[in-house]
Amino acid sequence: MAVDLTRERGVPIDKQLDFHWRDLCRLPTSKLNDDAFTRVRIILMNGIEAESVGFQHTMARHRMDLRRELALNRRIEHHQQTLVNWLLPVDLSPLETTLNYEQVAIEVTAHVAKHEPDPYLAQVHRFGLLEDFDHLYRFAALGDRLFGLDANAVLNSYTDIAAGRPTSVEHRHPHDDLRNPYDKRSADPLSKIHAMTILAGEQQTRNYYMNIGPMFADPLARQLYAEIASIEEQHVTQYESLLDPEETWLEKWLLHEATEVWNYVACAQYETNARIKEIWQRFADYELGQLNFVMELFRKLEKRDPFEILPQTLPEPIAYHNHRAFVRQVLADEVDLRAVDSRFIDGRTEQESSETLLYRKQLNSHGSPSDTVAAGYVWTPGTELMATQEGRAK
Amino acid sequence: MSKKKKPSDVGMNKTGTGTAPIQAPLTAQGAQKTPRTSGTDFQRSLASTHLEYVRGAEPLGTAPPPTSLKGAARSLIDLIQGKKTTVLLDKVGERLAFERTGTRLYDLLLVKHELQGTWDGGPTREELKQFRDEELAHLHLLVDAMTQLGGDPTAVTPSADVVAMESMGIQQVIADPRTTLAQALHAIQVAELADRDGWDLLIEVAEGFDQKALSKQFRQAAREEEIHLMRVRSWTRAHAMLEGGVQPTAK
Repeated sequence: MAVDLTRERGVPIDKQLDFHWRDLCRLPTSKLNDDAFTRVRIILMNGIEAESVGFQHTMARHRMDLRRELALNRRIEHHQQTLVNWLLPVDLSPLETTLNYEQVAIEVTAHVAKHEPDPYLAQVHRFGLLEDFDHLYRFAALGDRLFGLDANAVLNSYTDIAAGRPTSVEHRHPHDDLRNPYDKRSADPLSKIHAMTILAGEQQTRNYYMNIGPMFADPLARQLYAEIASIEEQHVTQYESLLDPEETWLEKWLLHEATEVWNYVACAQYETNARIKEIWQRFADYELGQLNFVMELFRKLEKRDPFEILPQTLPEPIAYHNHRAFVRQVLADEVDLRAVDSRFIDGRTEQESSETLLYRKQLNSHGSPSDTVAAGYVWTPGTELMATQEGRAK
Repeated sequence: MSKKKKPSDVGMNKTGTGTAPIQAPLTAQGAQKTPRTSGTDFQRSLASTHLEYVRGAEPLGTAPPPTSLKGAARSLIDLIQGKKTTVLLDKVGERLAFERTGTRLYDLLLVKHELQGTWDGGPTREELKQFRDEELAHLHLLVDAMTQLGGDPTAVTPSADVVAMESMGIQQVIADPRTTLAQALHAIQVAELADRDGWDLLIEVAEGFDQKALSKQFRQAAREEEIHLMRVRSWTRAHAMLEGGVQPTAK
């Protein structure tokens, strides 16, 4: 269903300060009965809102003239984030939540990579995809071997659990994580929305792992979270580098709001839980209201038409289904790709930069947690222990 | 090199007010002098907040559907007789999850034992290994039982979900490299206590469903778990007595 941004007004922003604690803190979703994609949407939208709040804080530090507008809009975004994130249930343990975080990274990035109109940007997304794919495998091994946890129970069989580009070789010197930004004047608006969506997802993933890593007692678990959090910081660097730094503050703010509308509309379209669908619909309307608020500011302060930046109709939303075949193809074709500066190289025939090789050697100098935890690991339904012949009745 | 401290050695534990003879009374004084916030009955408020949520709450989750025609047929027959097969499957699922995690907990205990050693009356490596292997054998027994009953051994049943939440602290204690083997054994003792009662209940439920062959196998597993509990108790007791320099009282 196409959303006409020239006509849709949403809920006026002054009607959006209508939250109360019971509204914000609703009964969470069910780990057993709700679909994994419901969790994927919750996790992604938590990240989208976190990025909005963070961006609006940073902007406020540079735009005295817009502090009041930013404070108002940001407060609403913050409360939206609370309502969304609090939908995750307590019996979804931090490690299980981590598995769903990586599922977000895989399935949403796969959609984006498949539909990205710019071939270079699509390559960047595919590159990150295979790294997050491997992270899921490593976390699944951790869960199985330390906790007796079957990762598939929360993934609902949508996503393969197998090695991708090995995490231990994903460590790159910071300069080799910087890519070429899109040109704001010529890039397809969908490219901008894609970049912002994946950036938000990866950033929240980094933040989440940084928060929960120290909550594990096991030293191997702590090391694995430290390792993968470091890669997620690389990913944030990578995706952030896609944004054109020449965009004005207001252009960026407009794009943030449009990205939020685009994402909430997709969530509402695909959501299978009626109670949660109603939240996505409400927030799509709130974001439309916020978008219109920012469009007015843009007209007033930059004296330009916001539709120089925005598409008149929202592009096709994220399709919330699994992308197994696409991911397998990318894995087969590109697992050996590496990055040097903003280029991708075939690691089998070309060497990475000496800075990256030194950096990686140093980090892995006392062993690799991701290699250790998943040594020889093959996901088995019901965990590795189900496959063993040990202890079976003769 | 200084000798490594034990938990029973005196050190810089700062958690009690006794370690802050000047600051603690000041904190208490500050709390007393500051006007009290407006009083309501906390218990009543707690209950009414919970009530708001309980009213609208769905269960944590529900039973997974049977995976075979045989399972579906059995459920129907039981239902006609006024019985709910999903309760049996739920309890099998609960034990299954417990034994699966339990195997991994004993894997961690074996690591701790190798690194820290034991004490007079403490566990041997052989005993820990035996208990670990028995947990694994119980897992296989329960997987077979679940399959036989037409259930899905990979599914997380509602009771399995609850015990996973209950067990989270146990895993953390055992996995923490700072905990002693004795502390880790205390954690496994908590698990074994729950496990013993869990098996007893499973046996009773299985017999209620006329699963005689299964309940016989479950009884054997329960006997092994009883030994686990007895031995773990004796290890933690021996450690506490040794550490305290006291004689055990006659039982």
